[in-house]
Amino acid sequence: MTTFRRFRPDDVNKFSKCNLDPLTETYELSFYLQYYAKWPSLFQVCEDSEGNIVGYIMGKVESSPDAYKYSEHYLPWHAHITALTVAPEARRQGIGKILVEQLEAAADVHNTWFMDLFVRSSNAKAIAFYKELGYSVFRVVKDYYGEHATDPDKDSEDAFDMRKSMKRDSKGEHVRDDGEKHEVHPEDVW
Amino acid sequence: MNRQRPRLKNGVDLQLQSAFQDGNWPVVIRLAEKRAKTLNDQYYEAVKICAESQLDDPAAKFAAVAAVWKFVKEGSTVKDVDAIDLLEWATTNLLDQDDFSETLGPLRVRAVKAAPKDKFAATRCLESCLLHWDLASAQQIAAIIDRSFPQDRDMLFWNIVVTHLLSMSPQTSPDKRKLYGTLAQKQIERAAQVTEQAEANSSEAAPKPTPRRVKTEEETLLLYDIVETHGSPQDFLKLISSPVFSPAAQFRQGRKEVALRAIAKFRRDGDWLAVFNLCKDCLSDCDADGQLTLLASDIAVWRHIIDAAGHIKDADPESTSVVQKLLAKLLSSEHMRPMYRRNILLARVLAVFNLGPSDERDVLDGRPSSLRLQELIRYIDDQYTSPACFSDVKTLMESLDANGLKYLAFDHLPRLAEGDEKNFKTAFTRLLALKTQYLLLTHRKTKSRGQNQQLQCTVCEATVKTALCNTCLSQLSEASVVFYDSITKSDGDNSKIKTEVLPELAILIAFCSLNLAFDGPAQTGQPLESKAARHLIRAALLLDDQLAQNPGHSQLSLLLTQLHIRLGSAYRAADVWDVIGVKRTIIDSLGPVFYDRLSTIAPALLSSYDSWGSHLMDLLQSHYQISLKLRMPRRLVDAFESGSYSSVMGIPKYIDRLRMSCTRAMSLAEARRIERLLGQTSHELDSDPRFNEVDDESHLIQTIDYGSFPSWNSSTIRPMHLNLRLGSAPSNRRCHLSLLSEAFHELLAYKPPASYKTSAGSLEYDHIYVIETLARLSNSFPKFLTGPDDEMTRSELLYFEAVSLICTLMSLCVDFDRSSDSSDALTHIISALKLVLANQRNQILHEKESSIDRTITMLGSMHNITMLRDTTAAIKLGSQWILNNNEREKARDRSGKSGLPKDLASQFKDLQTTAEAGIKEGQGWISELKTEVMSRDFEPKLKRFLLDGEHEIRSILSMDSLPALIDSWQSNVKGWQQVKWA
Repeated sequence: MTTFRRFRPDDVNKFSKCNLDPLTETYELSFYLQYYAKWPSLFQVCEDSEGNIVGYIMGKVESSPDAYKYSEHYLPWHAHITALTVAPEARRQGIGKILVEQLEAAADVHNTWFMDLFVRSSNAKAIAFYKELGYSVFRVVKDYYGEHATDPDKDSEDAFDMRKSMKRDSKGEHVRDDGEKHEVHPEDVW
Repeated sequence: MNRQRPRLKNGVDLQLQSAFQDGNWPVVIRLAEKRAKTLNDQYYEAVKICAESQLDDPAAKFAAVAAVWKFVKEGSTVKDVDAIDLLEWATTNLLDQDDFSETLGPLRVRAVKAAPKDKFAATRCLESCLLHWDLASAQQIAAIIDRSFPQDRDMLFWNIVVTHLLSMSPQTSPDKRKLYGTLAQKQIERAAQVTEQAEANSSEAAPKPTPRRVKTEEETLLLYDIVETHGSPQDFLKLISSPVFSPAAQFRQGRKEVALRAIAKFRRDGDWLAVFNLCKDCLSDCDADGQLTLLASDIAVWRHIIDAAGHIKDADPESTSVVQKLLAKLLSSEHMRPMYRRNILLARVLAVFNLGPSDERDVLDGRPSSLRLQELIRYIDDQYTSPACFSDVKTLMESLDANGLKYLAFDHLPRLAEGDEKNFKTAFTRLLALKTQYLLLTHRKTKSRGQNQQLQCTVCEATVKTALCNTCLSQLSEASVVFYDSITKSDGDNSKIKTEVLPELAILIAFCSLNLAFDGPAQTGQPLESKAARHLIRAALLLDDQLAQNPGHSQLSLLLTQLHIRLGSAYRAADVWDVIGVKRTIIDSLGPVFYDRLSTIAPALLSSYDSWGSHLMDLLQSHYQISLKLRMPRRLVDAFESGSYSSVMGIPKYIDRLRMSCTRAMSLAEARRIERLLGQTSHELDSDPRFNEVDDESHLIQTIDYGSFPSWNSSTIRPMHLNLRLGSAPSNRRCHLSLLSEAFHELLAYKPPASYKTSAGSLEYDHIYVIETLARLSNSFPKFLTGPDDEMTRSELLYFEAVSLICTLMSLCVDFDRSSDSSDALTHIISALKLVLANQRNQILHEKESSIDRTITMLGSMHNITMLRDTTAAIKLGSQWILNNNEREKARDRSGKSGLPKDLASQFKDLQTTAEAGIKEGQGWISELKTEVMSRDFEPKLKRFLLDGEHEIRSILSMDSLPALIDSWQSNVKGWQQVKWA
């Protein structure tokens, strides 16, 4: 029995179902408050009947700094998924999908061109999840992560920068079909 | 709070800039003085003052503070905001936070008044006032900026929101609150009116509307907040009838928060018809394809409409059918997402439970007969493989009569679970059936009075003597063990069964065992009897075995943390706790699960001299140091700048609550006790914000997140996680009493550094300080000593009472007047303290003879031993001070008329002797424990103790986890050797 609504600061006191999962990072309070302060409509939670938070998504809207306007890596006004988590016991119910859709709706309200996110190239489950929701790889950021999630012999891992056009990008100018062939370096990502 | 050194403003010459950056203060003073004279610029005066305040000379240190006060008192205006920033930096830590509103706040207001069109400077001043939570100054600045920039709508809303905050703040007097409230309301209603007019004229060739209007969702939420807080019922009615701002109109724009806010207000007002109508509007809303919208599929909205229909159905019989029609319509829609379908199916069951007949019997002739049971079965048949099924229907199952619940638990669900148990779906359903049986067995409605007036279990029909039927619980445990055994021994490699079924099954078996341990009145805070300890240890070993199979499993880890703490095996609890990585933001809500009372069980575990202990303690304390660095976090300014007005309202509320969190107070009390017990040096309590921000009027707030603990007990008995706690969670009363007690110990145990030369005058001041502090403590203790017994353990209550009594005793002795007969009162208090000591000792041992039972009981009694230790320490310190004071009085007045009569003085010596006897006894127990636990016989004795007699879980208990448990106890006993007893 779950309900979706905006994040409230008290929700951090009900985060345990999500944040005790080893795959979910717990940040300093200021990190959560930053999203709540700047982009409250892009910080959504899923609450169970006991008031526990069983899923949440944190997003933001931004563009690259003006100084990079003429760079090939310049990112126009877009939305970004910073974190998406669903408690282990609440998975396989479509909560993640609804949270992403809610963020997309908010991204359209902000009139963004596209939504993007970063995912480890080894995280096949997450990649499949986003692909099912219409996201595609836009570029590969080489050695973006400092360590490899699955291979202890490797000391870095690539990130997939995945994107989906929002309503404003009606011609699909901000997505690519062959994004996996476009490699960039971490310093090209702002 | 050491804030980063600021940079000097642009235009300052390089020589001065570098001297300032290098902290070369004498040079900065010289150069700044020179520049001030040459340029006649106030800024350089400020630079000079701030540089002076960086010098080591105590008098110069306060140069900036003195300058600020001087400016304020003389009514001077520091026009240069950069200069004020410098002064603010230089007075950090030297000026009390509360003084900001009388010093830097007014200086900033004056600066903004002097240059109202300098938006950059004005907003910087506003930010500073907000971060220091000086709302009066912030409001004045916001109003000036709004007047200066009337075309800037952000400035309008900044002004409104600050005025609104000020109107609700305790910083404002009640009459002014009303005034500011009205002001905020008028301003925002005017802005709303402009929007409505603009909307009404949108089709006409009307002039372009002013920007001073309500536009965004955040502004609309602010409008609702202000009208709700300050407006009359008519004002609110007008708002919800607005064609633009009504909740339904906002909902259609995709703004759900406004609708939820209105529903909450209607519910508070008991306006169920309004709740019903609004929810109906929302639920009737479909998207362009006729599909239910994201917002309308929400179960929360369904719950509201069903609740509302339940309230109005007598007056409006149609309401029930409206709900049913809505449900039927939505269920017939095609391509509905599984989540929405589940919500609506569940809403249908809720509707039957809430709106249907409630007097039907659920089962007749062994068949489901009531509509509610049939509807619930329909839902379960559809959703039983969902991981959320049990929690979704738990409350509904509890609403059934005993036969209805029994039918589900023992007939329907086991039938659904028939099949090959190696199959995940079958195994998962069987687990659901067993959990439902557990729910039934823990429900009080399964016990009824039989014809012979004896309590009978309606499941097995046997006579029972306790709240739960032990026979049924043992049978459930047996069935679960057989199932567990069979899955673990099967050849199949079903990883889903291993990760999703086995951990819960192990918990279920452990719960049955724990219920047998806790049967009867709640025993929290009491030493465990050996029978109960045996159940707890078996449960802990079983869960530890399971955790080895599912590392980091949060439910297993949290339960094990509690269990090990209860058993005195704190080092193993720390191992488990460390793996789940509770840190940063969630430490406030989860910290008490591990840290609360830990200092009383294993003080050496968190020693600051030990790297691991220091790391664990830092995890707890750093969250508050980082998050509460400023009066308000910088994110508040972000919220202003982003126009997030609901966040502007929400952040201060949360920060205030965090400041008053019981966990925060607990973090200090635990740290102080550890330092005391281990004889380590501490910083002054008064300088710790966790202490100096709390006074007797502060209400400390308990926040514990039990969400990740399995909640499988019926709501008619205590949840298992509360049974497992060593006493109740940190409460307002206990935290206050703990802090007061620490203040007492600090006061009396303080010894000046050897290098400090005391003079007669300073001794006198010290004496007066002690007497005044004691009087304050005597006054504070009684405010928190009375209250519900279950808010603390018996040992804690005895300890706090002892400290309170000794404070009173000391104050009475200071004022002792031989001419009045107050000896009796003192004698009574001394007797009471002796009684407290005797009771404290009685809390500890029940087993008299040396045996494994006695050792296990003692290992689980460390909390009580610490409370005895602290009680004796307090009495010893207090009586010693009284005797010293008596000697001092006698030396001062040699007439023999001052000081205590001889018989009273000897009573104090006797009290000291009694306390010392308690200390010796405590030391003896620890020594005995060390001998027992470190001996070679301990492990075989413990094994025999655990395997004694027949028990259900014997076949699956491996004893693989026993060495870690023994190791944990041994570490604790070793750690106790560091404890200072006297």
